[in-house]
Amino acid sequence: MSPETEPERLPTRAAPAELPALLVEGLGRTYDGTRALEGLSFDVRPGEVVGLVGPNGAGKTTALRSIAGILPIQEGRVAVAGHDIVHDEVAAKRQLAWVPDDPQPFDVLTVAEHLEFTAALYELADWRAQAEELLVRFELVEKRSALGGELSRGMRQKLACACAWLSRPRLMLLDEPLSGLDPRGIRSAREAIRHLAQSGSAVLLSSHQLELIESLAQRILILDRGRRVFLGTLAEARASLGGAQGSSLEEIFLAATGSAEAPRSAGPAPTDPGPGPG
Amino acid sequence: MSGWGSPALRLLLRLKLRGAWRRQLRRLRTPKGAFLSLLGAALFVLWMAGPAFQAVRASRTLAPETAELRVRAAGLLLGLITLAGALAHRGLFLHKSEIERLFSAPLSRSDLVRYRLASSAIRGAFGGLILGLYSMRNMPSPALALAGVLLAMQSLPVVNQMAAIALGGLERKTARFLRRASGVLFALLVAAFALLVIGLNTHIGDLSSMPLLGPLLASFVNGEQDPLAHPLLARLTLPFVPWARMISAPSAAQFVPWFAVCLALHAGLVELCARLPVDFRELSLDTSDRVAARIARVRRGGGAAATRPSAASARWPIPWLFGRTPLGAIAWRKCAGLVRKAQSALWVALLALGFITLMAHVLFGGDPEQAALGTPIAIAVGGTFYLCSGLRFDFREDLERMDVIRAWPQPSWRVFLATLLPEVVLVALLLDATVFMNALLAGALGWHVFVILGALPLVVFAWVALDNGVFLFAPVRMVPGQEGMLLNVGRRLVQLSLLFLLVAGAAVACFFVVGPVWLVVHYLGGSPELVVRAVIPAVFVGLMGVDVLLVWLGGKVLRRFDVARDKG
Repeated sequence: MSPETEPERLPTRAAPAELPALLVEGLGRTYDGTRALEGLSFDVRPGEVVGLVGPNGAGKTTALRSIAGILPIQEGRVAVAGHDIVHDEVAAKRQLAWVPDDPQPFDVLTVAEHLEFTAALYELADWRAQAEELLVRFELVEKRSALGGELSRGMRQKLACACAWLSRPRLMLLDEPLSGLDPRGIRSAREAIRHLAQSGSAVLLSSHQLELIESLAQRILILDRGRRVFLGTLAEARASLGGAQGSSLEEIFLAATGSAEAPRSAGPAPTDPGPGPG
Repeated sequence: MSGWGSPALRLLLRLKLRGAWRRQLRRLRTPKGAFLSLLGAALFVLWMAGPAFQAVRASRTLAPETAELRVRAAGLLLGLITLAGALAHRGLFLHKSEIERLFSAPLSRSDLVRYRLASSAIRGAFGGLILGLYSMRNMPSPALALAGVLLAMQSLPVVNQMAAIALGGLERKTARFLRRASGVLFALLVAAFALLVIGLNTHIGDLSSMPLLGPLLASFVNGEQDPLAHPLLARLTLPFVPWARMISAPSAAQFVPWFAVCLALHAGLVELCARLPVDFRELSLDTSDRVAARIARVRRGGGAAATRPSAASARWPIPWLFGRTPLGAIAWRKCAGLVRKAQSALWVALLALGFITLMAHVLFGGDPEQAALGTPIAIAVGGTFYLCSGLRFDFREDLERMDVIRAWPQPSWRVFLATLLPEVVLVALLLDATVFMNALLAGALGWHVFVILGALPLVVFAWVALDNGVFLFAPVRMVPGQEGMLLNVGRRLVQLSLLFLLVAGAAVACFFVVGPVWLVVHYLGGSPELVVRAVIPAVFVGLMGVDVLLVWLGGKVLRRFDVARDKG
């Protein structure tokens, strides 16, 4: 795939402008007595990319899975485009797409059949032209007749992205979407995420590649031990966490999570200006 | 190195045992895990206590000579199975997680072999206990027989390992020939089994008229000849005499010398195995990969669903049998598995159905009236049990993708129903075809056959739905002999109990429908056929009610499935 072959903006279903694409309020979860998530609250607006970062075990994947309706909600509330994920589960799930960190395609379906299956599952009309575009965009044209079980790690990731993009979601949840991709794939995926957001979809992007988050996200959500440590723009992070003008997200991240020695201009203990709800 | 083998490997063995024990304890932490594990453990203890109790109370034991013949035959059978196992695992089998670490560590190959044999010894002791408890009850001295079996079962893994290493060394020189020979041998065995099933089916009334093996089988069946005393078998079992004399010894005085001989043989085999001059590293890496893939297949539920589809099958079109709706799409995904993976499983299923039909004829062959009703019911019951495992295309193979499935924008009941439909349709079609053809050929195509044909899809759905519902409630991916066994046994027991409860509930519901009709017929007079006419629709309505209830319950269980916790 290449940026030159980028199609027109992907159509997404229209949403009332005032409604956040994702609203999370007081999300909490406990595993065997350990708090994996603690009162997590934030929102993601249409057309916005929010970067979700945190050290290993911070609760990023648990948060994403809870939002996607994969994990039952123990505490709090999640609404996708106004639909509650517990009480209006099917309608909420229709509005979102989920790309796991290690996608496992169906080994008996070919790449093209995965797209056909997704179209039927989400009851999409006139999807074939877009499926062709996505095959080109994610460099899957030559693999269209390959079975899911034959794909390499990177190809599996691209297929999961293609299926997610096909359903034209109002909210895209991406968990480490670039892992396993080659440099060319990384560049293309980055462009695809940018275009998706420009077309009006909200994106919640979890990644350890802070440079990716820095280049794509309008706001950053930092989690540590299940708690929200920071939510805001990079500029707000610099101001709030005492970073110097031009300090990188990596330095801010390390200061916020206390996972290394303080960065060159680290200030007092991290606080959360928290423009989001809660 | 001090003592026997490497101290580091002995430590690793101890730590692995401790780790396995810890994992078992961890399963007991949740109420669900504790309940099912304890249920499984109780069942296991009861299973073991039965033969032990029988052995204590046994009044009739075999004569030492007869016991020896039986043990020799059993030894031959186990020896053949062991050698067949060696063909599947060439080289030294080490788990995928440890093989590269151990091969690159400063350890001698002999130590690695000893470490592997020590690991096998623990499993061998478990197998020996089960086999010993079951075989000791008819032995002249049950306690001595148990001790003998425990020792003999320690030697089998050694023979297996020795053959695996030696055959591995041989294979490197004659790989192509051996591969071809084993393929031809397997094809011949399948063909011979098929011929035997067909022959037995067609000569069930008069075995002696069957060509080739008929007279011999008839003489065995009629009790004219003891198959174990056949001269050919006596010659073949000659190498197993020391173990047979040890296990069938009537007194300690006769037991001890043979025990000493077998112990010496065992030690000799272990050292011989450890010192075989074969470089097994390359073959072992290959074996480790293949075993890891096989374990993964078993953990995905085994059967046809766990195999890999061939690349050529990607070109085969998959029919949208249930429409292009979301339900149809989910079912279509499973249809793809059936079309692209189940070819060989279908052949095995057909052979198994032939065997089940044969057994049904053996059971009800004598009485034509009994056969008319009994044979189709036996085929239906046996076929449902076998085919629902052999042609399993259900949630077991999806355990790694449950996060994606849970994110689908569809109600859980619909996902549950659509996932199971293709398997149910295939199994029901195969069973219906077998029952129908059997009745047609036997000239017993009555109304009762059509009732069975109609009820079979509903029964198969109930069985598959219950199996999956219980699996989703407690998803243990079980590999025989590995951890999770007790929990799996407990789950099976719960499943059977639920099935019994459902059948009882359906019977009670039928009674409430049929009871009034029976009362009317009994007290006011009328044709008894009225009762039958009332029973049949009541059974169908009851079965449909059970199926609907199971879909609803299955949806509930799927909805509460926790992908973070329920990893199997």
